Amino acid sequence: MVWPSETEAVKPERQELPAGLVLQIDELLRHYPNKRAALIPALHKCQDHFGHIPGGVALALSEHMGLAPSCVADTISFYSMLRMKPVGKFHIEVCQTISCALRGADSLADYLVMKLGIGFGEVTRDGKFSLGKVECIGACEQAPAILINNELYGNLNKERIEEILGGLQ
Amino acid sequence: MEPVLLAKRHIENSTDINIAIGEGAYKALQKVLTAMSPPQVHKEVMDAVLRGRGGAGFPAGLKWKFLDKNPKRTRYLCCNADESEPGTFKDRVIMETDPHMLIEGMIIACYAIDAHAGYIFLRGEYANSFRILTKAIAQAREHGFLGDNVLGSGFNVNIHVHVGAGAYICGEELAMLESLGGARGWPRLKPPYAATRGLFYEPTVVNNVETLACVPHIVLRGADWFKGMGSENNYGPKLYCLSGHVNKPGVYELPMGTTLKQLIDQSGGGIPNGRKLKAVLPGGSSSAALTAEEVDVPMDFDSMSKAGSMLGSAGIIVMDDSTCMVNACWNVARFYAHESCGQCTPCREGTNWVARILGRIERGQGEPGDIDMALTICDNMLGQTICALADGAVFPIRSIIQKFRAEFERHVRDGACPFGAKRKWYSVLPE
Repeated sequence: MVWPSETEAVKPERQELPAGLVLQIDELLRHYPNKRAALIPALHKCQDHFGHIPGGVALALSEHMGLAPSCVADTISFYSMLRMKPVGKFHIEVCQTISCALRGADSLADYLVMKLGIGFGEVTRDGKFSLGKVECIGACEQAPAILINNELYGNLNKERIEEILGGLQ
Repeated sequence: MEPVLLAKRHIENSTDINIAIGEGAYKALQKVLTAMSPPQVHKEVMDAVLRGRGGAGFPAGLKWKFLDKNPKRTRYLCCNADESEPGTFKDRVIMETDPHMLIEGMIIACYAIDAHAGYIFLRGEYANSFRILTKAIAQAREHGFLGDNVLGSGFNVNIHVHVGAGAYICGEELAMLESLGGARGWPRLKPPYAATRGLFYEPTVVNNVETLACVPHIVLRGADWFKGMGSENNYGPKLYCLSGHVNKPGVYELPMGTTLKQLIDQSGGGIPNGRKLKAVLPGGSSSAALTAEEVDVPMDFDSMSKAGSMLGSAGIIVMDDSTCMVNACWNVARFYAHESCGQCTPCREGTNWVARILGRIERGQGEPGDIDMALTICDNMLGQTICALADGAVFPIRSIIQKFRAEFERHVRDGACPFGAKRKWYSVLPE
């Protein structure tokens, strides 16, 4: 879990939600008997749109959904997939849990750190790649596995990583 | 045995509704809506003794029975597809190869419990499952299996896919319902149980993907057919997930009660590189570890608990003799420290303390009293919390320390890891 101190500043500048995004959020509301239940899917939509959830967007979303800003911040702070800080164009998350660890997740991680020249939690200077760690992603039979922008890549070794990174534009 | 849950696995485009129907999908639903009343469906599932495949093994029929039947309240069915137990990936395989079996199971379950809305709580990391499920649901609606007046029977039902946002704790029943309500995934104190106060505070049944996937088969072929597989009180087909040090990791469908040894040696093709088996976490990382001498045990709910472990989610994590058990134990402890929701003090503090102590021992900085201190902290976590996450952390940690204590002592005595582990990168805890 993430402590509130790690989330963004107290009162961010309100940011307008784009009309297309508002439509998507309103579509989500149809699936639930109350607005709050649509909060996490709505936050996913915001993150898909902006790459992360800027504080001003969280504030606008809270107004749009009729929720207290603190309620939105509370939910964002709890979930590891929701982030308020920007990441690279390609966000690479390495699974570090036991099944992947047994099959060489550590050397894969070392290789990525060396190859990209950044540590975990960092973004490359050109903004193209960022590295993160993730807990079990349910791909244990394909260990070691990673997520790139939440898409699964499994059965990895150096050659395959080279190939995948080379294909990302 | 002939595959039941994985029958469509090798069929091309099996997720498409027309191909699925050609393979027999929605036959059970037609039978239910034309020839069976809800109590009849319920009785069939009850008779089959279908035990929950999510980990606890609680009979699904009983769960349905306990549901508040007050006609003035809205009832919900919730499918637990949060599958975040390390070593488990069977639900993903079901959703990606046979989504219509799950949807059909959910419609039938809704019919049996008189619910008109079902939610699939899908973990956020399963992007591919999400695409497949949404498409399958749209197709099922076009074919009249979902929506108002299903197949002209007058029964209305809708299924929604809800995407989670990455939290292991949301696999816990009531934490999942909190999360589905948009809040943080904090488990609720029980009672009241979900059967009286669940999703949106209404009566709710929560079943695992694999459990619901069994329902159409039970309804179509009968409880006796289902009971023809497995042993007493542990019936039916079961999906086993093999990962770690095996030649052929993957999901295998076998009758309940196949032995662990058979699964590792035959299905998994044994241990690679001529190495020997050292330890197994048989039911996901929350189960107590078994040593190489203890693996000749049937993988069913009762036999596993008799063997001092549990069937859990049947996520079998195999470790060969090159594995440093201190490192494995630390990895597991670190996982629970990361995933503790922070609500109960024993778990929030305890998992972190244990992870730090084990990390210290692994790095060769352990002190003589550390091993016993880790065990004492485990004792103070067990059974002291709202949900079972702390217990799930204690079982593997305590069993690994007890069964491989000499290895821990050697780390402390030598001031180094005898396996030469340098693994610094995944220490998430500030030290």
